[in-house]
Amino acid sequence: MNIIIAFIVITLTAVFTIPFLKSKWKSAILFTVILLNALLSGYFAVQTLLGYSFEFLLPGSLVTGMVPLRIDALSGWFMLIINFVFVTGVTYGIFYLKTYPYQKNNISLHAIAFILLHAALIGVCVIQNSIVFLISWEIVALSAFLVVIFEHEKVSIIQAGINYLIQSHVCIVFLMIGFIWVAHKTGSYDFAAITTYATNHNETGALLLFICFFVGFAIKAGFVPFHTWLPYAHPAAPSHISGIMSGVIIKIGVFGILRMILLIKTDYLVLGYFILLISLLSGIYGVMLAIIQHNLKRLLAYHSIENIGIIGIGIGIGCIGLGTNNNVLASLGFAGAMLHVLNHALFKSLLFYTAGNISQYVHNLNLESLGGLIRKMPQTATLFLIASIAICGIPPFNGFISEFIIYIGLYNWLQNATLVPLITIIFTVLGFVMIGGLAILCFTKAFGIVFLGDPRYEFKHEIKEAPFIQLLPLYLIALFILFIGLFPKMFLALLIEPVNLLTGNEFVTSGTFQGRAFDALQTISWAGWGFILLVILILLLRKLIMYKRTTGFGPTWACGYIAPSPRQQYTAGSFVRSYSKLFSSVLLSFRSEKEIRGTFPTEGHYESHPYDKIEEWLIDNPLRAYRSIMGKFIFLQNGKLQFYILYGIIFIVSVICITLFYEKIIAMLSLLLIVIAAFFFTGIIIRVKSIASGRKGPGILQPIMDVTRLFKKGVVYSQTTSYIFKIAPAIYFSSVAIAMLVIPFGQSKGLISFNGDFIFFVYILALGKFFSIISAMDTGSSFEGMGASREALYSMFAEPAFFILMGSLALLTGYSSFHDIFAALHLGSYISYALAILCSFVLIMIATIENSRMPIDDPKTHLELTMIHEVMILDNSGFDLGLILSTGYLKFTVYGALIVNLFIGSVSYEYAIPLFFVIQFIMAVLIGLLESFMARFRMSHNPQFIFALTSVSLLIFFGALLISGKFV
Amino acid sequence: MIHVLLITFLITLFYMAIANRMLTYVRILALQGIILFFVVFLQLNEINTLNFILILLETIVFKSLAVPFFLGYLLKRNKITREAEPYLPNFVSLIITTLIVIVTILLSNSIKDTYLDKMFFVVALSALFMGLYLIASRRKIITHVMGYMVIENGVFVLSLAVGNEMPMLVNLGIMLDIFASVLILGIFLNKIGDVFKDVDVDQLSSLKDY
Repeated sequence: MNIIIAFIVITLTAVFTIPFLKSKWKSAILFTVILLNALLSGYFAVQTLLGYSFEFLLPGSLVTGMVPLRIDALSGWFMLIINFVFVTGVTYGIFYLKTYPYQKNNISLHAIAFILLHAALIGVCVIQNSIVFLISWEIVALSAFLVVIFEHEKVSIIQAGINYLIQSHVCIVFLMIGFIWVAHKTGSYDFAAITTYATNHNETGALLLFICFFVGFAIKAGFVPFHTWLPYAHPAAPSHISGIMSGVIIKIGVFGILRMILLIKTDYLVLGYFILLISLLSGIYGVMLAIIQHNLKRLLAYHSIENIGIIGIGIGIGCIGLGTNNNVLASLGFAGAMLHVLNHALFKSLLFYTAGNISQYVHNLNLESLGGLIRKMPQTATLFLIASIAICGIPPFNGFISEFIIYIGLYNWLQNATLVPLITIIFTVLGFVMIGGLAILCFTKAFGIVFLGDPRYEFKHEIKEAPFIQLLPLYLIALFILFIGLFPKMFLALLIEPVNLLTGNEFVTSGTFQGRAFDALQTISWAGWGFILLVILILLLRKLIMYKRTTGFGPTWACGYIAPSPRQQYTAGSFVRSYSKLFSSVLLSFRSEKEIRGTFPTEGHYESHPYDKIEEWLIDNPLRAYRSIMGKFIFLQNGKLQFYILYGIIFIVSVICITLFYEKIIAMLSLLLIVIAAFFFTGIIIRVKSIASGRKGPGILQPIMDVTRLFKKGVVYSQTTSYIFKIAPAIYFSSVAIAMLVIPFGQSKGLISFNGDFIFFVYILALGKFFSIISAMDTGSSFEGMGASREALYSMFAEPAFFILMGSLALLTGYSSFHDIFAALHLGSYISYALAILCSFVLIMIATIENSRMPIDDPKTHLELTMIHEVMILDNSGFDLGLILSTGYLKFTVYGALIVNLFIGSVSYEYAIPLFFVIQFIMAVLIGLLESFMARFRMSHNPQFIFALTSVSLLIFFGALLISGKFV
Repeated sequence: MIHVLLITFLITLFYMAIANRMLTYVRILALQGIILFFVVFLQLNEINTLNFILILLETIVFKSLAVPFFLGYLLKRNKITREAEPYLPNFVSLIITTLIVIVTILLSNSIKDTYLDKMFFVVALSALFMGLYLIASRRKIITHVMGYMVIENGVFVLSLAVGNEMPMLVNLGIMLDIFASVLILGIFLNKIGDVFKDVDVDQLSSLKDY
């Protein structure tokens, strides 16, 4: 307990004193504090790895409740890694930051954020109260943001920082959802509640909870497709921070996933396959993109994604082992994963630190302009070489060990696997091997281009090696890399406790990992030693032999093409050219090139910028769409305070009004829905028709735009016409608008609702029709008269159908208003379904007749003699025409709403509203298809057809009689 | 008697809608403070000394002396013109204020809470909306402070309406609010007066971020 208090006190004191210190003292204090904190937390960590575990209860506050701190072997392992990386990182960072002596305040902030980052990361490992955990997690995110944007005066860096900040908050949102979910179900913020929840609820609930947490942690860890922040944040940060980010911060995501595996006891098999899939994807995608990068740190950043993938593969295998009760598999998977966490933290931080040396002394990280650095910076080059070999998973370094364990796990799984696991194993091995191969391609490129050959670019300043003291932490890391490679068993002994914790039993026993699977490690260790000794031996032998002979130096011979310009060397781009051509379908690269043509070479250039395809799909495109939608509302943000207050007033008033007039608003709902649907309905019909005839077609909103354009235009009247012609469109529109008010929506009545309102509905529509017919007569044209006569005739035939239909429904339910009929209508038996379908058929047909569409009328016809509705409105123009057209759109959706009412019954609103739009949409598509695949009836067939509808409604009527039992 | 006072308070709101000069606003605010004091005095039957002192402090000392004095000082110091500069003509303001009062009366009718004194509720709510309206319809930054003050008076009345007992917490909250708004905007004005010659809200729109 005292140690924890000391930890907190040290952190806080340091945070508050650093700004007031001289810059010389700042670095000293920073180093001391990190070291002290590391020692304090390391004490617990070492204890846990020896088999102890600790639990402390902090009092917490009213909001959080008790705050349990539990330190088990899993947190211990991660704490050790964090501490190691932070101590080396701070040592390196102090020297790295000496380049910026003038930025006093900035360095203070950086130091404070650094200390907080370390403390909060340790906190994340031990805190087991979800609220405090989230606070700690948030401190990690914010302080990491602060340390990343150290050079915040550069736009690109602040952009990368903001990108990271946003994505880490998306991650927090997912975690929050998960924790709130658990707290809501169990009423406790303790992590133990997660286990209670998972055991007490069904599998899918627990699995979903895990996926929620997994996504949250995966964003932090950088699993594909949640990785997009990573390639920006790593290059933007100063190099020691990149090393720490890659080494530790993304690992905390892995820690979270492992912690959740420990807490959520669910179907591990499914989980394992899921993690395995995502990890393979991450591994392959990460390395594939790493290869084509031109910026060294960006390349390393993509490699972090790859390594997270490898770790994930280990975790996935471990989970599958848990799921199938295969203890060997589980322990191999988890051991591999956790060892790789350490390994990656080591070699990736080393790589970033060496990259930091390059950026500090060369001021350039673009691969294409580097080269030959091994002569200027031999130590850095050697360190980079060691780390490169280690990251490729090649012995005798540490990367090999962890990958080897995972391989062993896979082959162990192979022994008694059935078909599905076999296929999984094969593909995993395939992917794994590919990752390794591509990593080799990538790092031969990186090392070869950066350090070997001749400099590709003349730098004005002198390039020198970093001082030894700065390289000291790097050597320490390199030593560890070699050490793990040569004594893997010692580190595996440390892993016994964490692995046992994860596998949930004491399978792995004292000393070292027992069993056939681990025996190889001893041999590997010997082989590694043997290899090193052999190399030294041969070198000594060579020295002995060459002792007396002469050695000459000269330019590169290269088949006689002696001493070309450095510009003619193999470049990074050309090194991976064949690769990037091969995978051009997966990779995305923006190129600009100008080829050299003609006999005499002219100016030419070639440039390529790699880009991330997943980022384009997952981030850029949705963002662009979001922006284009939100851009339409930017006028709201006009910067005038008064307007903002006004929005507030509008909000308050509407909140009050909605609660007060809830009933009325619900009654308006059908009105609103009908109007909204009308906006799209005709557009969808036209679109469907266009697609069916092989065109793209106009936008969905085109009809509405046409109408708005018409509304803005003037009007031309025929001299023959009277006032009838002028008022008819308005009456036509109003009739439909009033008819709309009658339509109910589910449980809610329309604004007007009374017994027999469907009769009113029909007659108010008839009023509109009456006026549209006489206005056609008003023009005195033969065409329009003809249309009018047809329209009158057809509606005469159509109306009985509607009446009989509604009558039979009224008979079925015993009510006589729309709302009561639809509310009482229950679709119970098969007959009633059949009836409903017949009803909707009749309604759709009536709608098409009312709107003069196929098969009765063809709105696209160009011959006046064959028109019905179109010919009636030939003389209308401008505003009037707009009214008539919009009335048509409304009419469709009014009938659509009736059909919807047939089906929704008393479904609650959250389902009824989507259902409304779905049915309207289906109807629009149906009509569109009908119109594309059907010819118009002959004029003389129309009455027959329409009358057939009446017969169908009679059929419905008899059906209704049958159901209600009145037909004896 | 209380009702008479409350109606007087309402009338001051109307007067605020048509007042032209900044100084009038300040005086109205001072008057409102005094009215509020008497309302509290009459409304709260049992009152202990401490509470009484607090209320005296808040209404008389703070609302009707300190804040008006401070606002007057700000007006002089920053050489703010005497005109209120509304966006809308006073006549329209009057109509809107009337509408606000009518709507709040309608609203209070729909609330069926026996503990709630409707008179208080109407006055409180109209003061609230009136304050918001003042902020939305005046051009100067300093009128924002006045709008906030009116809103605060409304909240004060509302706290009286809800319970006979003065809730200590609401009281303290109001105090804090007043301090915050006056201090922030005071500093704001003092600072901003040096940069912008006109203390006009329109200038603030250059601070928006896109």
